[in-house]
Amino acid sequence: MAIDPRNYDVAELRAAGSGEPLPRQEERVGEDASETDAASDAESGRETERTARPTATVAFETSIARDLAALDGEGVERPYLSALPASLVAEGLIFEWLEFLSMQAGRETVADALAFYERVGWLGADATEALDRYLSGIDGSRATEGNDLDPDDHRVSLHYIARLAALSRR
Amino acid sequence: MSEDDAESEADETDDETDTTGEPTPIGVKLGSTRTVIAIPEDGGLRTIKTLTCLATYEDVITGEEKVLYGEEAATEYPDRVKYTLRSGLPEDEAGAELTATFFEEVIEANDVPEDSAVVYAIPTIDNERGLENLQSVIEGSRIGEALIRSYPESLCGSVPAMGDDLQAVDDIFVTVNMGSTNLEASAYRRGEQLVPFTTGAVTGNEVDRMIANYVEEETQGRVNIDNTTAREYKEEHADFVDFEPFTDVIQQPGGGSHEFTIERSVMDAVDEYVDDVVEEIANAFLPELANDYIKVYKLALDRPIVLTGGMACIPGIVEEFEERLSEELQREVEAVAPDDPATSAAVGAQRIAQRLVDADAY
Repeated sequence: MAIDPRNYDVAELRAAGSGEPLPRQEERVGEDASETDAASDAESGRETERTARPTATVAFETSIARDLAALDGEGVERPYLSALPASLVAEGLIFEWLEFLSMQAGRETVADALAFYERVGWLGADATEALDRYLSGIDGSRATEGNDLDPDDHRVSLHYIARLAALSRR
Repeated sequence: MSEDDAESEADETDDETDTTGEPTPIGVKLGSTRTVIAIPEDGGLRTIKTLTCLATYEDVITGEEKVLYGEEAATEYPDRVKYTLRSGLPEDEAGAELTATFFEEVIEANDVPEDSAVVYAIPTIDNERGLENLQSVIEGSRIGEALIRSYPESLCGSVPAMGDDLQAVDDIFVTVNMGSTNLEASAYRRGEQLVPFTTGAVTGNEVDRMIANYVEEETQGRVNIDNTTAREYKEEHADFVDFEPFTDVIQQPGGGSHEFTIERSVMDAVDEYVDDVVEEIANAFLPELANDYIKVYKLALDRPIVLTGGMACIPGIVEEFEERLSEELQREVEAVAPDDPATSAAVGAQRIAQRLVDADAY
């Protein structure tokens, strides 16, 4: 038994939360309890610069800008993402992105946002159409009430588009 | 033996135990100030709350060493009472032994069932030795025959604040645990803890020390109170909504008594505490979260931040935190707390235990 609360079994907790049956304890001996999140989240490195603006806001924008700069380069043209790349990592990113938008504002607003991204040249028609199909499979029941997408949400979208575009160029 | 603050909350749970042959699902928080145990009973929850302390004395008739714990020990033997988890975890073997004695006394006195699945809510402190000592206490305990698990106290404490079930495990949110020995903050993404942040610089115990110092200042040095009295002042009088000055009486060393009134000491201390919490969250924890998890940061700030821990019991502190953090971040944020922050970690742990039993995880 390990009682360190940092090493709890996330999969078991999620299964308990969803009411799914779990294998008995003895059947799970030897299983690796750790879980890694392969598809998401940037590398660490802390923003310590203090400005008049909130430190957390600066860190958020710096993080986005850092990732976008890393993904920018020659050969970038509009639409940034003409079609969705076919890869498992890309699929993971797509669900993560659409789930984020849906939780922020609900599915209908996300569909409008995708159309907006196509109009401003972030997405191609094929990419938008494919994303609409994915969107129908996203649970929109946990959307933040009364929220709408703000510029920071669109920055996050651009971040995902850039990551997907980078996968397309590979 | 000690009389605990045990109460039933009939509408809290839908558990069914005993007749099914399943182990009893139990939630435990071994806290530095209070220990709370949540046990299903009569369709509701029985919560046992007791100070995490004990005192020993010699029986004058038999000569045997007797143990008192909780409020009774603190009241009857203030000179020798020992708070076994003063720093959050047992620091050494002696501390572990004391904690084990205390825990067994509580279990014995309250008929906590041995055939049980026990989930412990434990602070996320980077203290390997302390965790090993606590592990020895837990492993040596009679309860938890069927299953033992531990989860971060901040997650367990958030469970009752986010719904009647385990909605917290399926959500993305930020939580701040305002405890006696630590300030903890974490983001959770579907049960996974992200960017755990802990500081021992902003604590309920420090507030107690500040109150003791401010009382001395406010009374021009005529009154010195200990930290236990300061904690009692905080728990009884701190109130951001409706604070009223209060009077107390001390016995003078040379005889007689001295009555004094406290107007500022308590609220000055908790007011500074909230400022310090906001400073840590806004300028240390959230920037780290934004740097590492941009999506979670954005989502979590658009949802209520969950405040847990003993300091969250102070009336109005949730609104104060909300207002001051909004000002610091230059954007609106919302905060919520469970109905009873002092017991929420044990209640949340009990719900997880219940679901683990339901899922045959033992």
